[in-house]
Amino acid sequence: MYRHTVRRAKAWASWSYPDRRMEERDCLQCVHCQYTWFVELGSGKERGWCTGCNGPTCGAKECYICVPFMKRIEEWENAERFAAAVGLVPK
Amino acid sequence: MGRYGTEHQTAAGTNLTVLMLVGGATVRPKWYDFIIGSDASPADVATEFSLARTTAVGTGGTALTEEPLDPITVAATGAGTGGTFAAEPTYGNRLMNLALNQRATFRWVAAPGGEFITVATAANGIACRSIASGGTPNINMTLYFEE
Repeated sequence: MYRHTVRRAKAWASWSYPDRRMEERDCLQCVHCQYTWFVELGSGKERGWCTGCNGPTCGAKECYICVPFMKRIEEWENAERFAAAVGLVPK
Repeated sequence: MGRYGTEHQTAAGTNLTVLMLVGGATVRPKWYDFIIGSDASPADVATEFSLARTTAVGTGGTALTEEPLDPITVAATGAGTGGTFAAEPTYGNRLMNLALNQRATFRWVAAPGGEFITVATAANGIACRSIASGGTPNINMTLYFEE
């Protein structure tokens, strides 16, 4: 069985094949947008780390600024409520 | 809080939604487990999938039944819809990308705190779609969520 593991994984993923060994990987998740990727040792992909959230970021520019994903979700919800209140979208 | 399961199957293709879950304005359903496979005759067909937030539900599709895992749980508020859609949902932020051979079965399980959380806004949800495929195999998807 192939395994790619990491400490403090946010998820676990597995691939089952009829003719190969099962493959397992841990997943990491961006603390700012919830983008989730499979841990691949030595992939060379550049990610980031938020010292405020103490967790990994996906590396996208919009995730350089520290906005925890739950705060971002609440901001989206508030924006939608405001838009509904002023009649920009149906309630 | 209850846990629910739902499933759907549809053909893969280019930007074709397999399964979408919309929470509505009062709840934030959380995806904590899903399985993707194919019940088509085994063949080497590669398909790329994308999970992303949706901001509009599109039109058409098949309304799904969300079965509570605990029989005494109240009915789910989140509403699942399966492809094929007449007009695809509007996609926003990506949550995950994966490529899968048709012969393989994929399973993803969130650790506590790692669930995909839906925005509690009308018509907003999370969906899985095939964004490119070497064929049109039937794709089966099973989703477990809690709300």
